[in-house]
Amino acid sequence: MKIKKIFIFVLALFIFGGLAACGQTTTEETTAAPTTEAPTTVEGDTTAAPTTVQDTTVAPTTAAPTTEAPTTEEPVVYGIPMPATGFYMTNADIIQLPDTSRILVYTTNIESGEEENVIAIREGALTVGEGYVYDDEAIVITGSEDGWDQYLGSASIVQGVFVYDSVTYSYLMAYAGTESINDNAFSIGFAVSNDPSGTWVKVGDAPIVEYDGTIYGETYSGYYAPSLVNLDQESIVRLFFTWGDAYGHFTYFVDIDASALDTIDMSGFAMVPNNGNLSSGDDVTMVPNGDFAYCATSGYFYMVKDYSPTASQEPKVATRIELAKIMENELYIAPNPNGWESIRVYDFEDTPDYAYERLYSGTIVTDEFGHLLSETAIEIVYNVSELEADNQYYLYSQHLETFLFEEE
Amino acid sequence: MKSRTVRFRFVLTLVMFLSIAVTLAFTSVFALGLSEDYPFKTGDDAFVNGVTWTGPTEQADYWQFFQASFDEATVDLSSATHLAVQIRMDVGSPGLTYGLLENGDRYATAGAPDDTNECFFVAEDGTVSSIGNINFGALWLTEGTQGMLLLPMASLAWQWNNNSSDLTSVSSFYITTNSQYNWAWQVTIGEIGFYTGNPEVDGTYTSLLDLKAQPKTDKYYYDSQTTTSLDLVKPVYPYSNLDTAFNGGVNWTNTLTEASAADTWQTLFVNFKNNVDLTDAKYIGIQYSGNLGSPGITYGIESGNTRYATVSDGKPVYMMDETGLISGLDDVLYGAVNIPQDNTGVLLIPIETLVYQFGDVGNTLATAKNIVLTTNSKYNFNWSVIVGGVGFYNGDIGDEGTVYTPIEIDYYYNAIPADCTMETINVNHYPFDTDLYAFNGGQLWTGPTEVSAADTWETMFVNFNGTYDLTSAEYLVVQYEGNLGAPGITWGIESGDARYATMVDGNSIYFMDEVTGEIEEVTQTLYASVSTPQDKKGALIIPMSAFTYQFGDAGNTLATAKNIVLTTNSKYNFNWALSVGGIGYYDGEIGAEGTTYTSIDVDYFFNAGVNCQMETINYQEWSMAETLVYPYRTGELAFENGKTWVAPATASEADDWQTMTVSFDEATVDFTNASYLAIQFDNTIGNPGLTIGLTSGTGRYSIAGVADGEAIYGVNELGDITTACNVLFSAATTSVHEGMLLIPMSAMDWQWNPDSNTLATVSNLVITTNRKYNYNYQVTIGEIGYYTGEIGEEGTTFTKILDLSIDKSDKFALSGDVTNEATFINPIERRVYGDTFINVTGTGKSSDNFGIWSGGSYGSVAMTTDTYGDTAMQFQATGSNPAGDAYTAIDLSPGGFSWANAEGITFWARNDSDGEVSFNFEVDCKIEASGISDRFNIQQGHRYYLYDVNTGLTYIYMTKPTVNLPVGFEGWIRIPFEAFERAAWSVNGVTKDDFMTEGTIVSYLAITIHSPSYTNMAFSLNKIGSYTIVPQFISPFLEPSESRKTILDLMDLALD
Repeated sequence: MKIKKIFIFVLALFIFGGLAACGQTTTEETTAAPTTEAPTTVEGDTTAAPTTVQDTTVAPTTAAPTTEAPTTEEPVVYGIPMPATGFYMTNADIIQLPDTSRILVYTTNIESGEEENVIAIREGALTVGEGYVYDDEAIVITGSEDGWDQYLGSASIVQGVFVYDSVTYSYLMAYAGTESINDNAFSIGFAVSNDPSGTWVKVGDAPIVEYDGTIYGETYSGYYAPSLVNLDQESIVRLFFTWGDAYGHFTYFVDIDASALDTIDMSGFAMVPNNGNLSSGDDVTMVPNGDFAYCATSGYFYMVKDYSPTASQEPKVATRIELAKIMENELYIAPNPNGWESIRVYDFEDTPDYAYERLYSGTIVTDEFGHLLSETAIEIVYNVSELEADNQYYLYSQHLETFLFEEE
Repeated sequence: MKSRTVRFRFVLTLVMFLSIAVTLAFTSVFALGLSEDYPFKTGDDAFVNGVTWTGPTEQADYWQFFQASFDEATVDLSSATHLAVQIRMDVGSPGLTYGLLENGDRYATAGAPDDTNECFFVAEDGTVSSIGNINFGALWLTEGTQGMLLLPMASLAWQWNNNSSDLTSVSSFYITTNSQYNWAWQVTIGEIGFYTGNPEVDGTYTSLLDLKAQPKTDKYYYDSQTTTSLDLVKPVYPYSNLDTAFNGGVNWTNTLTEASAADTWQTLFVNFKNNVDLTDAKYIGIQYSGNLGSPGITYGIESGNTRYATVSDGKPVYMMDETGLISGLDDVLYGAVNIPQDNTGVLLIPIETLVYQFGDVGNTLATAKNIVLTTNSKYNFNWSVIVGGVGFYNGDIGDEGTVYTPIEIDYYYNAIPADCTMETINVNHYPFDTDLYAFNGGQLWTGPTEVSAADTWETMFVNFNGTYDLTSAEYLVVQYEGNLGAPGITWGIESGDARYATMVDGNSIYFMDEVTGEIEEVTQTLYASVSTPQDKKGALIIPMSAFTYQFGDAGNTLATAKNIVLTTNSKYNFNWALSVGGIGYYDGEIGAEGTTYTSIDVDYFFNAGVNCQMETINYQEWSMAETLVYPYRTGELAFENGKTWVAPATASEADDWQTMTVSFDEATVDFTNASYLAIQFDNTIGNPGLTIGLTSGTGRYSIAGVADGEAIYGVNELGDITTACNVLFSAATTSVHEGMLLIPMSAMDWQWNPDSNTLATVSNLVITTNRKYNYNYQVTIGEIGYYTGEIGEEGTTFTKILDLSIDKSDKFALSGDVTNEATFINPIERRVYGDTFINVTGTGKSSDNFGIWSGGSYGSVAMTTDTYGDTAMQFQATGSNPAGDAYTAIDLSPGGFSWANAEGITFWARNDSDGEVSFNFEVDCKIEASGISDRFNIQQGHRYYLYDVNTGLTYIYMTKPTVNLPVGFEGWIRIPFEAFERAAWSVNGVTKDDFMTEGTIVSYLAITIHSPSYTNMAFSLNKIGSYTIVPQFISPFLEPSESRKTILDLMDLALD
């Protein structure tokens, strides 16, 4: 059995210092500019080793299943369900279909007390006045035995028209996977389906956006946190993802014509701006673990992202998430004049009963194409986790909660 | 001992009256005299005209002797009750014997029995105190005592009286002391007199030696003249004694060689700016120097229509020489004063000597309007005198309260110019230029407009070109202008790591006016700083003695001074501006014979003030139009058929003159009427200093034929005219790109012309430069022409004399007098790519053209070709230097071009390795106005474009903090200037806000590679320049359009 680990990104930077100066060689002697002595030393690389989580070798104690038939009818649970004991739910993505039903995609563990990630889906139906009731969990993507995606990260889905191997599909999933048992060097691949809770077909046997660990480093996160937006509501999708390497965690995107997934037409990478008034504790503002939604009407892209830097105690994840927006055109030019407009930062005071110091991996509930449902009422689903200091099995305390941002 | 304050003028109490008969009973309890004031001058200068007698410094068995004779040969002191001696005990408290001499006999304290006879002292405020009884024949005064020694005659006695003297014929006062017991003392003796009667009651003072008006040096004798000295106490001369002292005055010269036939009154009026009240004047002072002859001049003062003048014979007049020595002149005779030739000083005319001459008697001296000098050339001719300032003393010179008040002069007027000339004196030692360009090359240093919250030291360094030995300097001189405010500047001089600065308060600082050359004390150091008033313009003169050790190795003397340093604290000094130009020093008193001025060659100014700005002063008087109709081709083919002069990459050890000649379409051209030579010109790489001339026969008409400083103009293709440079060392070093050099014919002259050739037969343009100093450059020359007339004026013509519409390679030639390694290339390479202008290419270069920093890691440069077949540069780091920096640093260009107002830097690049390779740009941005530059490089977290010519994909990557070339990348990169930040160690004052803005140029360009990370990972660069339009990212969703232009579109790359 493959042992999976909670995904933790590492913030390590190479800091390149001041660079050396050289003398001018073709200067008129009598008019030479002053020669200023350049520094003779440059700060060396400060490469932090990736922080890995100690393997949990002791399975949590689980109660034996009750063999007696229930004596009373189970109550209806509205809202995002809690994971069962020994399970976690992380890195959600939710699209809402035109009939108001929702598809919740998330990462979970396949067995209680283990850490082997799988991608699961629950479909939810709305009961007006009560909320969503989600179906049972369907495991839709598992790691391959010997491919690039032996270990899985998070996933994102959109609806559209996608042809692969001569079959037209209506759902496209982007998911992160890696060959690394340490959950490093993720790449991002595609899968397609016509039944979200049913069968998903992985597109090819190679990632769509491949992280080359030999170039960028095997010990870094690579490309992770995929977030899909179907730009034209047909087949042109934008894949946002976080690029984590020695220089930090920044978000990029590629545009893909996914109408014919056997011959993908993909753009070059474009880094998402990191300027504006985003909250940051870094020297250079990072944009990690972002989830995106598009509002074609207003021309804005919305984003919910993790705050950086992350906590120094386990779980080493974010302690805040931030909702922000940016004018679409600013994504395409450099320098971009305004950057992100922060809408709101959420921290532990916003969690239920102030209970969670860790909140991270937010996602914006969008329509089926990844477009924003409303600019005045934005629902955000996010992760919380207990602290290791309070619960040694904190990994299994990870579950999903919801914020509703309403413009005042 | 009792004492109390006694004022002679007022009666406070009458304690007792003792007649001379009971003088021995004279006690310390004095009564107060009504009869007279304190008879001597008082105050710090009370002993002016007296003498200071300085005793031996060591013990010696010798009786020292001092004698002061009286004004009269002998005086009857038989009725005197008290001898009064003005005395000041300067050093020590010696026991001195005081006495009177008569016929060699001595009536003195030495004749008195011990501890019996009391003597007294009267302070200048009238305090009378006993100094005790005479002992050992002597009296002791406390050091510092100043006043009147009052010796009761009855307390003295005959020491010896061999001639039966009886005090009726006393000739002198004397002092003796035995230096076996008294040495290392100094005493000053002023006036001497005596009282008849009780000084406090009704005593009458009579002067024996009157020094009120002048000293009387012939009255003194002292012995030993080897172990003691006697020095005259002089007043302070009220004017400068330098040769500039008479500046502003006039030299009044009678040019007649024969006497006038009849009475002819030559007159010089010294007219006051305002009426002056001279009613309290005691002496009128006239600064005077007799150059030739000794004319008898009547001096007068006019008030309204009334004149008071020296028309009364027998009246005294005096002359104070430049040392302060006052001497009596001959009394007024024939209504005139004769001052001997060569006398220089201040004529002192007692106010009583000026008597009413004519006019309304009601006009008093309360409204004096001028001084009038008259002389009759019937008797006085062929003379020359200098008259400078005038003023007046309001009392006895030296007395407390007496000051010399200069009178402000409006103008001098010479009444009969036919016989007398009048020339204004203006001896000027001002060491700097005074014209409009005087401060050019200096810096305007501007302080912050807001006060700093905490101590913030703003500093400007003026670095010398080498070191200077200032140990023999007397004054440091700084060309200075106070543009705004009067900031307190601490001036320092650095030698090695030691700094000497104006740290001690109270030192006088001087200023020499730029116009008049006059020197004045401008301020004194306070809080270790010098506050020079606003609007002062000239030479700030700081005595070297004002520089004291501040910090550093004190072993570093001023023998190796390397700079001067201006510091000020913006917590206290803000909203100010000052200009600093030239620097130099005097090795003696300014204007004194033998004093020389040495100019210090300034290398560069450096502004280390975090809140200050520094701007190079470069005043130009624009004399031509600001624009012209550009006469040559423009755009990408502007230089077609021209030639690019590719210089060798390395310097020569010795002089090696490289020459480019360009002949014209005609064999010779007539430049006789030419006003400007116009050369289509481009500093393709570098900014060499070029000597530009025209050849005519064997002669050369060149910018080397005139003194440095002439302006050479540059014209861009829009026709905008700017000053490209001022000729320096006979060379023009410009930053002209894609334009034209416009050289005034007046800025050239015959450098040599052995056969007297004329400008009518100019055969070619000749450009020379010395490879010893100028190398690794490329200069492109295109068409040539000349203008007649002034640019912009009607009738101006332009004549093209080399038309390059067709190939005329035979017109161009290169040569070197030692080496011949320079080459020509054709300037056909594309420089303009749509919105992009290319500044740096590999064309014409070899690996020798690229310096690799020896202090860094190892690297190599090779030449390759780019996508378009043009010569490109291939770089790679080849290993770490264990003793050096981790980065390989490679020079690309010395700059000299502007990226002002562009959006960013762009270049072609190719990753020739199998991994992603990164490098950074090192860009020096220089503010042309101030001359300061700072290093900028790419910092992390910014977005930049890549356009791959093979895939057609556009990327927006992040700087990390370098330019990253993905594996297999080949194409164009655009890095917004926003991605550049100033290097942390580069703090000269160019800020991010200044970066590549108007008025800046790139003054250095290099790349750096982190050698440990990218060893042997080659990449190629070429066509480095700037772009002006921000491109758009393209994708399957973002198709190119008119409003969404890609790099491909913006650069018109389809042309290639």
